Amino acid sequence: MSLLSVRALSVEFGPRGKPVAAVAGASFHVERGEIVGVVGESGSGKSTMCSALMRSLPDSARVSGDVVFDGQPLMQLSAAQMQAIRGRDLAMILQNPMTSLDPLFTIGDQAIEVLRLRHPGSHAGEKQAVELLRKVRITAPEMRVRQYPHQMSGGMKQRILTAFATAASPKLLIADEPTTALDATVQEEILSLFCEIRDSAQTAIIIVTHDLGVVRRISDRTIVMYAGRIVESGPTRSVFGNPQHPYTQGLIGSMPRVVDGRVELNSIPGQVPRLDQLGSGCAFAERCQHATDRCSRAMPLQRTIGVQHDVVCWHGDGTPGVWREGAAA
Amino acid sequence: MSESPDARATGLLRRLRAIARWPLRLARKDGPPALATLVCAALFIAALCGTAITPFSETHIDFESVMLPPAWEAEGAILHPLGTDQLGRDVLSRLVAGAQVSLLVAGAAVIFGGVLGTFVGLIAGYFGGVTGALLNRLTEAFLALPFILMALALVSALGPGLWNIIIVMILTNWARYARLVRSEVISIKERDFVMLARIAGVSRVTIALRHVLPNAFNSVAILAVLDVGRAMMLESALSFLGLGVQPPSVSWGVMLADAKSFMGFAWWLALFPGLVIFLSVLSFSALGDWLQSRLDPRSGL
Repeated sequence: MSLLSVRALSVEFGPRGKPVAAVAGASFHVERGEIVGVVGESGSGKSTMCSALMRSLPDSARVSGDVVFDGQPLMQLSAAQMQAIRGRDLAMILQNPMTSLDPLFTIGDQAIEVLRLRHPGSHAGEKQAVELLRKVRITAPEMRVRQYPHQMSGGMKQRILTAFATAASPKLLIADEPTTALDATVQEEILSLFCEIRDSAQTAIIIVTHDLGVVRRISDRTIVMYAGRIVESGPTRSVFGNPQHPYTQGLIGSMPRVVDGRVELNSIPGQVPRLDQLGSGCAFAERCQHATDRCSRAMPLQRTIGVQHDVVCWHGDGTPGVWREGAAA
Repeated sequence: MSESPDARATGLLRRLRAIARWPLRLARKDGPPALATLVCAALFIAALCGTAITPFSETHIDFESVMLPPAWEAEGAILHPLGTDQLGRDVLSRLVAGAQVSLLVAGAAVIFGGVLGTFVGLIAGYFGGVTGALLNRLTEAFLALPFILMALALVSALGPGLWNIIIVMILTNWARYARLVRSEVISIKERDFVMLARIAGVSRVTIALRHVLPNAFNSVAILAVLDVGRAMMLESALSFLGLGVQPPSVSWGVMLADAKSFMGFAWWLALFPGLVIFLSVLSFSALGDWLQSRLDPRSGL
């Protein structure tokens, strides 16, 4: 059985009569020890989906669908049961490490708070805090525990936050754009840290990003989201090697690459549509160069085109490279 | 080789000039906070020591020396440096005793009103919901009532007196803290570290007390210092109106009220309490402003 299985997860905001769906009917699963990458442009519902899994959305959000995590129906748990799972089995890292630590307390104080929360009754002290930092390879942890957040760099803070999040060896770690605010070399360090955590504790990781390079580098499976829907999902190798949805092709096509000694950079024309102005058809139809009448009239159904490789498009039929030329043009 | 007498004289002169310029430099650079701290410290010392350091008790009546002017006037006596009142009581001793009352009332109003208001604001801002809305309406209701009107009503219900005036001051003071803390808390609780604490499974009460409240503390401290001056003025006003401290207890407001019948010929009776009120209110305001510029990173930009 999967560690996490999500079926028809929807998140709606706004008036009941005219709801806006930030996430619409998302279904996916995460296996133990697996790294799943979720990609999409800003506003595609990636972060909202993660918050929905943590049940940390504001009360104004209406969440529906089934989420089974480690055998427990997450959406049906009481607030107290949920609180017991949060942080212990299901942990999360936010996008901006600069603001994710309390500026008034030293790193050591905050580490001790985390440790005491995870192991109630234990009298964790500075020694344990130093150990925790050492695990994520912070240099000179004895000195760092006495410092305040403003004395550290962003990469160091993200490491510390990762250490806090994984202090209890959670079964699933949700990382919402963990490297977006960091520069490229630090990004690489954080990603290898994630791989290490996965290997050492069999922690499954959902990594949300709009950086395809990150996904290709570390994730086992990739989920592509557009306007609140999952449009393509499958093993990373398959999704990148044989992208079927025109949006996935566009995303991959817009990664900078070197052709004949020149850097080539394509982009997808148009913008993500406003969620309250979606028609009945495929949300990507307006920007898709393969769109036909049928695309804007009716929502395409999910089709399986390979081993665990699903696509939601009228056109993608599994033929490699059919749309490749079009996407690059 | 020794310096020539001339050079030594110029050196001395330069040093003297530097010493003479020191107050000027102080006034320009760190002047307001330094002077304000000095005044506030003097007030605290006066209030702590009270009439133990003055030659007379504030209620010591002496008909031999009634209405003496300050010591530097022709008829003044060196024993009564700031003169005496219509019953021969020493003005300086009464000012010192008044400082005690003033600081006690202002301190109690600020501390208890501040704590009460901070917790109301914390609950209203952090927990929100129906309780939050109700607390917020209550706060606004208290802010909308004119202070003197509310004080009049409360004093006529409770009766005048030192402890009642403290209760009145707390009741009229907490709402400002509640409003400030509520707005601070609403912005702090959206910050990432609070979100993260929540999704890490920390309980709401722990987050509120351990992470939200300390981050709101700077603003509360600034308001509290600014508020001491305001509270002193209000206490004086109430006592002046006869609603506060009752004779024979002394307060600067009571002294001013007594002085107004003799103002024509005994100017010192009105001038000194007035000056003391003015200086203390100004000093606490200056200190609060300075704290604000030091503690609030946004105000320096």
